[in-house]
Amino acid sequence: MIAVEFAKQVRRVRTWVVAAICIIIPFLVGLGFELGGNNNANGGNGLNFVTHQSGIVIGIFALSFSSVLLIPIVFAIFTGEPIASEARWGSLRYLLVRPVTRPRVLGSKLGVSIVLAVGTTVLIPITGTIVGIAFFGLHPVHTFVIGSGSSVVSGASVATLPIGSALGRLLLATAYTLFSMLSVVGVATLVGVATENALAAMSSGIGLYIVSAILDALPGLSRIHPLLPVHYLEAWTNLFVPGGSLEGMLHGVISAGIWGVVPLFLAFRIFQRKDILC
Amino acid sequence: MDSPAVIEVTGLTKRFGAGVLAVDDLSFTVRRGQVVGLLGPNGAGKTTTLRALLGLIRPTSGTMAIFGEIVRPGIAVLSRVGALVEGPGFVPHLSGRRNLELYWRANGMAVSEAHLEHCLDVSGLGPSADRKVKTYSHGMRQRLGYAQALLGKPDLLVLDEPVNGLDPRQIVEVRESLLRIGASGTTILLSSHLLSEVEQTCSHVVVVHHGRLMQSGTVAEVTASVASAYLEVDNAGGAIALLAALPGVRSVEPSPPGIVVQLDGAKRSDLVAALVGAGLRVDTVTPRRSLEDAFLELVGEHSV
Repeated sequence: MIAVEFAKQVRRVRTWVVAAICIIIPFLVGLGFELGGNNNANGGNGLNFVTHQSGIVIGIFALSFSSVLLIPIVFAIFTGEPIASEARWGSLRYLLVRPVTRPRVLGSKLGVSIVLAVGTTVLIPITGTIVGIAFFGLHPVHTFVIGSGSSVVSGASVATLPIGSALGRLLLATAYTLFSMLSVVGVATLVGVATENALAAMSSGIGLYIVSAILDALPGLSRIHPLLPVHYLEAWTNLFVPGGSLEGMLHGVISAGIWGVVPLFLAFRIFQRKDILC
Repeated sequence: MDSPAVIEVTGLTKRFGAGVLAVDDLSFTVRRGQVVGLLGPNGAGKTTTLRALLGLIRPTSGTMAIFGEIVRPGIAVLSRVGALVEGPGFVPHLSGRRNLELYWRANGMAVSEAHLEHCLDVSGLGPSADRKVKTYSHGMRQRLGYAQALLGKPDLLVLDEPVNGLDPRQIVEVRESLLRIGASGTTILLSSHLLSEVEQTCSHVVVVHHGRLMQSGTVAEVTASVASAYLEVDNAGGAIALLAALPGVRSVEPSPPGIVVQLDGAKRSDLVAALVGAGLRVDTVTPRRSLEDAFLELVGEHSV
């Protein structure tokens, strides 16, 4: 069943377009810094690096730029669509007249979708790092805390991450970001199963992110901020801040787990009971 | 002795949402080796019945069993069933051949057991089987859908309007294929709104209308249960008035150039005697016993 599903999805043009975008974006990020000439870069989310010192920084920025929109979109596309597409093609009923239980059908589709979404988005930090190394070489990463000196020259609180540590942290940051996408996976799958409409499924996955990002930016709503699925999205940046707390990441894992498991549970339940009329 | 039941539908009722009653307390049995036509006009509940039978929709009430097992989504016994429901459905960016392979492999069956080449031969697609399905015409998809239902030589075929969208030559091919498969002992349940199709292909018929069972039995029984006559007389108006008052006549309607009389006990000879006795000249008297007549009468009773 999983092999069958993989065979169906991998051949789709969509899969390859997404993969291409995930390679091109970090390339542009690297090019931007190369042409920009500014030695320091501020990701706008607490990330401050001396860019021209190490290529790994490009991988980190590529991840940072993509995590807000590109990565959620990719996950929404891949996980919102499979059931809806089969429904549109009229092939869903033929999947379900086979002696295969419905949870297995949905589980296989979901599994393959997640594998493809992870497989394409993971190209972003990987390509970013490779492009960065090509431009700037492989060196330890210098980070500094803004406020204690906006230029390297003042130097007081610059921290240096050795190559191995920096790559390890980038890997952890990537894993954390992709895990955070469970909320998109959950909502897109739920809407995809309930409406059999690919567009509705994709836009609700992305919409969840946009709406909660707006709510998260409104100071008056600070009480509900910890409940929003985007609230801890960039908690991984503390991995690159000297003395940064990792408590946010722990909360983020719990939040993504809940935002993922609850809608997925509902999706499986709805699919099991659904009348297949398409 | 009756052969064992392959399909048993008992009191099947399906209501969609709060309102539409698509199937209303429908019961029928299909026995091994029978070729049964589920006959009814569009919207009679045929497709809903077939969907329920395959576990695609949950009945509001009633039970269905296939090979003695109560139908639920994805039950194991579906491996013995080949189905074509409400038209074919394929993944458009893959070839016809690849679609059939993936359909078959979905529950872990080896392609070698599918008789894939044989089924593709039946579809008559030839080299087109290796083209992407999105390039296919409606008829090609329909034939591929029929071929898909035949994969693995199932013991039971459930086919919803199998000749829909085919040209006359292809209709004949599918009909001959169905007769061959039926003769080999495979049980077939096919739905159709084409009366001639059922008459030419099926041994038994289940007539449904507005989701209710109208009648079931062998094709011969169902047609015999409805006797009617077509007459041409020199004064149609007078004949209608006269015959409508005759005992044993259910209805009389003009059917230019003659009239059609639905009988309920009276014999055709009674009609002729009454007409001649009244001084009318009878030109033609023919029995009308085709399934079409039976069907129209059964449906007509309830269409008011």
